[in-house]
Amino acid sequence: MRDLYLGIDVGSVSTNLVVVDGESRVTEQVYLRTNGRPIPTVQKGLAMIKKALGPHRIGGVGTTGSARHLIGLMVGADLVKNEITTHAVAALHYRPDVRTIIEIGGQDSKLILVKDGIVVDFAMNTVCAAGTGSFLDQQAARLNLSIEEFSALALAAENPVAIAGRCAVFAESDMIHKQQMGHSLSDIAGGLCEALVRNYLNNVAKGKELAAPVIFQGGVAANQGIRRAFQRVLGTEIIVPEYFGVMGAFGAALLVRQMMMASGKPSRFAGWRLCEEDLTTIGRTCQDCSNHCELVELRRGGKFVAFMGDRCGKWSSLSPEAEEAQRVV
Amino acid sequence: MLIGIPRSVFFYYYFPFWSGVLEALKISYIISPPTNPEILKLGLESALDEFCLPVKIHLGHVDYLSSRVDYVFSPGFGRAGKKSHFCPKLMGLPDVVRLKTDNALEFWHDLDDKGEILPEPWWETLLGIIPGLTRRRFKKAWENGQKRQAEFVKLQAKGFNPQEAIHCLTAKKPVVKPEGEGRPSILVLGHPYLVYDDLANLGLLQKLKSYGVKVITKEITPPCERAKPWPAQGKTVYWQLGQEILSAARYYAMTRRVDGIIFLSACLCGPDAITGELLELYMGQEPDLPPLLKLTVDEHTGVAGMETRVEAFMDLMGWRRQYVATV
Repeated sequence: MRDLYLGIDVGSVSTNLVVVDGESRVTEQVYLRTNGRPIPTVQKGLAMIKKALGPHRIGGVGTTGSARHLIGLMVGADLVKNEITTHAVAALHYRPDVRTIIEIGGQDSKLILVKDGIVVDFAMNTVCAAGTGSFLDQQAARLNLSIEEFSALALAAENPVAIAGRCAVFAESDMIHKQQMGHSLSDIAGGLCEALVRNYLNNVAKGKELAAPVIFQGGVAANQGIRRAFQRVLGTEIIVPEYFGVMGAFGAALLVRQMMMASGKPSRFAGWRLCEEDLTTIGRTCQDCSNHCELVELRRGGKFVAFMGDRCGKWSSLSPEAEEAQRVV
Repeated sequence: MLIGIPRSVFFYYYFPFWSGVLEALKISYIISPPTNPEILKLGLESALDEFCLPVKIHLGHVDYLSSRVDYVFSPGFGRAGKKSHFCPKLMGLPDVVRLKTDNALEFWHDLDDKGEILPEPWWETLLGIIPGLTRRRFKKAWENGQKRQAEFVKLQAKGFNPQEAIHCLTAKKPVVKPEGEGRPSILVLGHPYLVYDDLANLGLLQKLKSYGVKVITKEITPPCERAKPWPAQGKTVYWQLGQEILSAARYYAMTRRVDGIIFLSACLCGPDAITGELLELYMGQEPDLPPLLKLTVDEHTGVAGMETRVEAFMDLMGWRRQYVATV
């Protein structure tokens, strides 16, 4: 029976699962919308993966993304890793000579700079989510377009209009203005892509040198208009990897594979029965001190599994898994 | 008479002095608790949106104290020597506080070239609440404050950060030495009201310590290194804390005493907008300095964004160490 390694990336907009084999080859991948419900979405994803896999043994599970701690606890992860590192690992696996990694996801955009195969600098968008996937989604929806149609229209733009890219609210009013002036949807979509790229370069890259080869990944990399705008501004080829939409999960799978193969230990994976189990979370505020930590209780089949979210550790230490999950770097 | 001291703005720099003066004048005081969600909420409710987080937090502490004491200690900060200033928001702070509460007492801080507070504004304020206060008694109280402050500075030279040093001075417990060597070590730079406010910085220092990091802050920089500019720096920056931040980074980075530097600033902070850019610029011009992470905080309570960045930064430092070891 072959050993497989599972990576799960639960982000604000999408939830991705990737399975790799002992030779780091992707055997399965799933891309789902999180829709604000991380637990059922992961269960759905697990069910899809389970169905597709032949006889196997799960050798390790790694979680990443903003819900990595919660989901790590739920599935019994062997590794809980931040998404900057997992994205870098996946990109480096795809192109060992990569120098610049641009990742634009639902609410985060990242820039990772690499030299001689090691990460030397990274940056993320600060307090504002303008110029990320959620904003594109929202604008496509406002124009009554699917995100795929939007991409095609943007690519077809002949004379992209100027749109203010600093703030999503201003960008929207600018777009409405251009639309009322009579500009074509295609030019507006193209203009929005250029504004988004400008915003990325100003807010995230901030004058850092973006050397080639440049890899562009994350859900937004599907958008042809954005790809073209990056290509134009940077004056270099933009490489979009085969698994661009699930690179975080891929990186988590690669990392957990490496870790488990080195340690030789069995995985803590809770098993495929997870897909059918009744998993719920209950939020409450701890009143024991003035910190008023917002606690989350995870329950499996109505039974207590773990608490998370306390600062002092007295709740999370009630279960060894939770304590571990909070400690894992 | 009871005075309430807000545990905000420059509390972690000047509390020993403040308490020394008040105690010598036999004025009782209470200190507001470390910033908690209730205090933050009071601050957010009473502040304009233009204020930065530290000012909002200060207003929360003032609000918390106002009904519990006769007077609220309301510090203001102006000049720092001949060529340097505190931030305009801190200059206007007592005026904003006065609009919020009618029992605020203004204590103005203008620093001379040696960093000593000028006594005149304090004399006027204290004369207003202590009838018959004599110059002689005021001078003695002032000296008591200076003595207390000197003890505080001495503790910092031994490696205690201001938060730990104030704890040592107030807890009257035997002084425990700060932890020694640890790997990796990270220099955390920023204004004291962010670095030592565990709510404002979302528990950054605790988080780093839980990862086994040795945390260093700028106050333990050797005195002779505190104002030294970067080689590429034409003139010192206008903001006093800004130059201290740059100089501390220069010292720890150039001497390779730390594995990484985290620069913590508040959203909307004017001086830090300049300091942060300069820091990045100067560090980028010197080859092979430790990596820099810039963190911006605001009133959000979700720690996920901070955790992600800090964890990735830890990985980055680890890779760099491995790389250096293999080359």
